[in-house]
This record gives sequence, C-alpha cells and structure tokens, in this order.
Amino acid sequence: MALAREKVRVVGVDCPTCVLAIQKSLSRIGASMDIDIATGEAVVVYDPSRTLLSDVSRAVREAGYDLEKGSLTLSVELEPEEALTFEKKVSRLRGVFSCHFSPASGLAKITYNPLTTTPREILEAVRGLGYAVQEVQEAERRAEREKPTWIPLLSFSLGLFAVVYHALESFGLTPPLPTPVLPVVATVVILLNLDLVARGVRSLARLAPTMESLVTLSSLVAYAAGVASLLGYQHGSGMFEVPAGVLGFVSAGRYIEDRMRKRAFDYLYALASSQAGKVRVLRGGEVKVVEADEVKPGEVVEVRAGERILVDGVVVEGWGYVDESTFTGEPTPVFKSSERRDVVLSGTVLVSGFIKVRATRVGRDTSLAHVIESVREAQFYKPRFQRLADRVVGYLTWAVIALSVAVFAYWAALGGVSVGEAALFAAAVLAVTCPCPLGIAVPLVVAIATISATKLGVLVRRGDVFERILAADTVIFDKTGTLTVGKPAVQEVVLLDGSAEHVLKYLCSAEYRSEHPLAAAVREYCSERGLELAEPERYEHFPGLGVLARVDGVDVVVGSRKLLEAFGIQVALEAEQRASEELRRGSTVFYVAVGGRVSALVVVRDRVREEAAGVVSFFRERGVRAILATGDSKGAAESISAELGIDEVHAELRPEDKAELVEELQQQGRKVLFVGDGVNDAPALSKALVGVAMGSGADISKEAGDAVLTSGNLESLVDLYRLSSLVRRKALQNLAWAFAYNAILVPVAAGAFWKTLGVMLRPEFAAAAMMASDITVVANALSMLRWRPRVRAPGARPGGSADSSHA
Amino acid sequence: MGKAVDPVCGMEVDTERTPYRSVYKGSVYYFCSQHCKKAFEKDPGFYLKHGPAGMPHG
Repeated sequence: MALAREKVRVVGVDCPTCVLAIQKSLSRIGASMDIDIATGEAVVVYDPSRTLLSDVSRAVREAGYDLEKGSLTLSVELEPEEALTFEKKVSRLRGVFSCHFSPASGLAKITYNPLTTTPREILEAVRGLGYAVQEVQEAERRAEREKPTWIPLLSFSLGLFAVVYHALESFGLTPPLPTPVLPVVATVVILLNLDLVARGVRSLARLAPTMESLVTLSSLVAYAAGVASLLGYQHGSGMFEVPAGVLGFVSAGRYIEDRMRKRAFDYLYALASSQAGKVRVLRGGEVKVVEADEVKPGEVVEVRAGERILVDGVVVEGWGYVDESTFTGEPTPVFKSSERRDVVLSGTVLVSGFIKVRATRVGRDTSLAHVIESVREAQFYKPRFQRLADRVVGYLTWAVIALSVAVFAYWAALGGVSVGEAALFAAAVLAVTCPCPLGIAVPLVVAIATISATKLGVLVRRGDVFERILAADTVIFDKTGTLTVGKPAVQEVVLLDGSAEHVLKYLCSAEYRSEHPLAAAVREYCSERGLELAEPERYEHFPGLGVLARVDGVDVVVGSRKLLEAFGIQVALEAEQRASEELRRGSTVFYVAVGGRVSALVVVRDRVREEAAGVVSFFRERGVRAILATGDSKGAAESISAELGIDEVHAELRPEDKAELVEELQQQGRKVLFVGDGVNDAPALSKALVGVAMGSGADISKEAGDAVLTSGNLESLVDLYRLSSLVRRKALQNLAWAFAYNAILVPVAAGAFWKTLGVMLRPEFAAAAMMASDITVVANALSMLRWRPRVRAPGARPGGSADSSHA
Repeated sequence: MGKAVDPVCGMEVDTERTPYRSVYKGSVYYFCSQHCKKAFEKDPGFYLKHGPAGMPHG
C-alpha cells in the first residue's frame, strides 16, 4: 500500500498535549502526523486508498485544532445531476480538502492546502477532469453566462411552428409542406441550441449524463430517424418536428427557469450593493467625500436624514431614527443617540435626524459584509436528503438511457410497429424524464430559505440548520441576554424615608456622572420619569461599593450596605429583610442614604424578555425539553425558570461547564439546540447539534453559532423553526413531485397504453411536460420568498421601552 | 476639591483624580496606590493614630 505524505500547517498548536490529542484523533482514521510545535508545520502520512485529505482535516478539527486552508470559488458549467460526481472527483485531487457545489448558483467552493497547491494548479486539474470552470472574483459573481433573449424565443417559435404544423397536417387540415422545410427548421433549432447539445454530449462523455444529455439524445435519435426516412430507408411522415419541438421547448423552459432562479438571488445582490457608495468623512477639520471602503476605522462619518449608513460604528454626535430592517426584519425605525453611544450598522438607513458616526468597521469587515458572505456560504451545505437525491439522480439518467434502448428494442422487435415509431417511443422516454427537480429541489429551497431568513433577522450560517433544528428534542437557553434583556433595569425604588420626589431627585443627581451599569439603569429610570437633575457639588466614586455625592448641600450615599456602614449609617432591620428577600429572587439591591438616613432601597433586575415565555412554551408544546443554563446564582435562575415554565435548571456554570452539559446530554442521546450568547457561550454553541447565537447588534462575525438572531429578538428563533418546517415541507413536496411525475409519465412515454388505449406521448410534448414540471419545482421553491411568519406585536422589541419613550 | 494626604505613605494626592479611596467612620481617605489603600483597610486605626509611616513594604 502506497502511503501519501502531505505537508500541512496546523493552526492553534502550542503545547505537546495538543499534539497528542491530534495524533490520537488521527490514529482513528489510520493516519499519523509529525508536528513542529513552534511553527505548526506538520507532515501527515495517510493511506490515500482509504482516507481522504478531508478526513484528515476533520480529524484535526475534532481534536480541537484546524489546518491552514485557502479557499477558491469556481463557477462551473454543471447540471445538478452531476454534483455528486464532481464533488467526489475534485475532493480526490491533490491538496484539496473539500469541494462543495451549489446547483442553485452554479458555484463550487473548494478549500485547499496552500502549502502544497495553488488555485492555478487546482483550476488546471479540474479542467483536466473535463469540466469547464472559471475562477470567480467577488465582483464578477453577477456576470453569469446568459443567452441573448432571442435565441430561446426563436427556438420556441420554430419548435412550436413545426409541432403545430405537423399536427394540423396529420389531420389533413393543411396542405403538406415542401419536403425540405421541416428538416431545415429542425437543423436551425439544433444549431441555435448547439451549446445545450454540446454540454449534453460532454457530460455523457464524462459518464455522468444529465437532463441535457437525455434531451440531446432524444433529439438526435429523432433527427437521425428523420434523416433515415428522407434518404428513403424508412417511410412514414417526417421526424423533424421532434428535435425542433423538444429543443425549442427545452430552450425556452431553461430560459424561464434561469430567470426565476436569478430573481431569488437579486435580494442578495441588492444587499451587497447597499454597502457601496460615497460617504462624508471628517478629515483634518474638513468634510471630504470618499468611497465607503476608504474610510478608516476611527474616523468620523456624517450621515443625514434619508441616507444609508455605510460603516459600522458608534453615534458620537446628534440623534435620529434608524431603519434596521436589513438586519432585524423589523420595519419600525429605532432611536439612536450620541448620549447613549448607540451602535449603528452598515446597510441601515437614517430615516430622520442627523448623526455623526465614529467608524469601527468598514468595507469587508462590517456586519453586513459578513451576513452576505455567510448567506453565500450556507448554500454550499447540503442537507442529508439532498445527498440521497444526488445519488439517485446519478443512477436515474443511466436507467433512463437503458430504458429507452429497451423500449426501442421492444417496439421494433416485438411490438409490431415501424422502426420510426419505435424510435419515437425511445425519444419520448428520453425527453420526458425529468431528473432536474431531484437535483435542484432541495438546494434551491435551502438557498432561498437562507435568504428569507436574513429578511426575518436570522443569519443562517449552515444550510443544514433547517434540517437539524427540527430534530432537536432539548433546548438549552442561556439566561442573561437570551431569556433576559441582558441589561439591568430599575424594577422598583422602595421608599423608606422622606418623599418620593425628594429622594428620587437626590438619587438621580448623585448617579448623574457615574458610568457604572447600575448607574446607567438608574439614569434611564430617571429620564423615563422626566426628573430634574442637579449637578452634584461633590462627587466621589468608590469602585465596587457606590458613590458619595453632595447635592444642594446634602450628602447622598448610593451604594452597598458596606459603603453605608463605612459612613456610619445604620440600615434598619426592616430594610435589610426586604433586601435579602429581593436578593433571593435574583435581583441586585442597593441603598440610598440622604443626609445620613437610609431613605430608599433600589431594586435592579435584568428584565425578562417579553417574548421569552412565548418562545419557551412554543418549544415545550412541541415536546422539546427546555433547560436553563446560567452562570448566575441558583436563586435568580430558579425564579426565572419558574416564571417561564422551564423544565430543568443548571446554575452557577462557567462557559466550559455549559459545553460539558451539552456534551453530557448528547451522550445520553439527546439532540440539543443551544441558544445563547455568541461570544461567551461559544464552546457550548459549537458542541450542540444546533447552536443559535443571540445577536447583540455588535460584531456578527465574532459570534459563534450555526445561526445568529441578528434581530436581537428571541422570537426570531420561533420564526427560524417555522421556516425550517416550511423548508422541509417544500423540499419533500418537490422531491415527491419529481418522483411522482417520473413514475407516471415515463411508462406513458414508453408506450404502456399504446396498445390498450392508443395513447402515445410524442417526444415534443414529453419535453414540454418535462419543462413544465421543472418550472413547477422552481416556482414552488421561489414561493418561499413571500413567506412571512406572522405579524409581531409592536413593542416586542428588546430595549423597546427606551426607544418608545423617545417616540 | 484639591489635595489630600495619603494616610499611609504621606504623599500628597489629587482627590479628584485618584481612583484609590476608602471610607472609614464616615470620612473619606485618598491614596496614591492600591498598595496604600490595602494597607489602610487592613488596619485603619493604626495609620490614623500613628500618622503616615512612609511607603509600606511587604
């Protein structure tokens, strides 16, 4: 057995134990590796007859590391039926880790080892396999091969003319045409569609016949039979309307189908182009107009009402309402102001107001750029049932070719019809078979669903999320920021002494300058009530304890009991009892002392999201067990889980404990959907069958998870689930349709009812039926673009209270 | 506010800028460093009684 050696670079190794872990993982697939820890360079030795480079890569990943990879996107002229063979052949090439082909966009994504091969070499090698490929640059993706409209139109008209005239003629309604007319028409149609015929023959030569191969064979068989009868070997009326009709109908059908498919991706292109444009940037005290991607992070950009924001950043001056529907699917504009240092994202629109934004990310680093990239990526993943369909399609075309030969032989030898008619049956079988929907049914549905999801405020990173989320039987929620808003808010100010107005004024003034998150909660509470503030004369901040301020000549202490005691202020027993009660319920409590007397108790709590209860019960109704996993105290966790009706609680967990919990449950055979923070819960998100990150509105590219709820609304999880059900339904509908269509029409075309009922499906009508079936499938998938989950209650937005107060 | 004397090391401290402060029996004390603050909080009575002892060691 010949062993292969491949030089690779491992990312993330820094200790001998890492090496051990990798070697252990590799030994399971019969490979071994020598690694230089300092550089990560390694030589892997494996048996190419049993192991692929992609298996090596997977083994390294399973050990928790990764190999350095380059990636390459190719546009390939390939029919969906050939996808599997293509992927297999390419992933066996030297230095190639993986190859995924998306029939929806005609693009193949190849990851390779930059240490042993180059994009050029791969391109050559793929061409060497007999495929017509082209490297695609970002900008060129749009420019796809497109036939001028007149070709399919003319083909269709000529085909229709030939078919209709032939039909009228056979009923004796029209005088026979001069002999050369139909042959000439047929020849012209073939010439017009020479590219289709050439592709059909080419894929046949590669031993991976496609729908185009079948159509080509069908037309050529009939054409040959026609030529034979012209030369007098056969008699019977011509055969030339068959190739004219078949190719004419197919040509027009393909054209319609291509147009429809492109429409699905228009949204994506529109999204991508919403990133480009000019911005006004402040440089050296002057306003300069530059391209959006020329802005450097840290520079300040001016945005006027009605303009699109073209950088990610923070509002540093002014205020306004921003339409964030690109990310959230939520049409109501959101209030953004410099006071709150709100984050704005590229691709959103300033509806009214005037703001200056300090850019934090520009060009290809923005969240929007990342969303677009992810959506493109997602279509390369194939759900499990698509892999099955791919395999079936590979055999189906061969089976059809074999069947048509058998049909011809049967009718010519035993059926007692002329050779010409036998050829017609054979041609009909070839033309009627519609393998296309099988290949395109699922990928197109997934690609469109990914795009639809973006509109709903869900970024889907892997196409199989739709399939996996439906399989989940356990859902684990993180608490802070997932089930709760993730931002403390004042729940109650318990008055102990003095008038409310009085105490609140001192409290708000004292906290006016503090930057602590709890102080922010107090300030929000104050501004909601429109309280008037006084600038403190003296202000002292004690980290971790609280503040001391002098307001209107009165000393105000806001902080923990410890701080109050240090100032010699006694906390009454009654107040203490109340405080410990609130603490047990998971709140944070601090005291306000005015002039040396404890005047109030402030209860701060992270608010539960309004939609949380509905989301939890949605999953429980479907028999999915709901679990809460949090780093917070047991008291806080239990109080919220009781409120939301959660089945099981795990408190005081570190992020790695959550990952362990996921792993444990999955070892027990449970399928876990983890919903949590995209940054802190990354380990758990990656271990779960499906990891969904709660988008924080910040850097989407840094968030882990198979899907990210960019809307920042937990309800989007339900939308994703519903969309997934729809995906499954559409995919199954398409597959069922494709199977049923073939199962019924193939026997008819073969002449099963010819003797009994006299029913014959002529090849040109067979081709029309095939195209109609194809278009049905595409249309069915496209109908998903219009899908809307349902109207959400206004104000179900997180942080909505703050926004509405300004409205 | 201005200046105050670090009760541990005796250095003059800007009360508005130093982040190191502590409260003891109702009065606020300012420090030049975390080190001094810790030393004070360990035994405030000692420093208030004996006055600044120079930079603490150990």
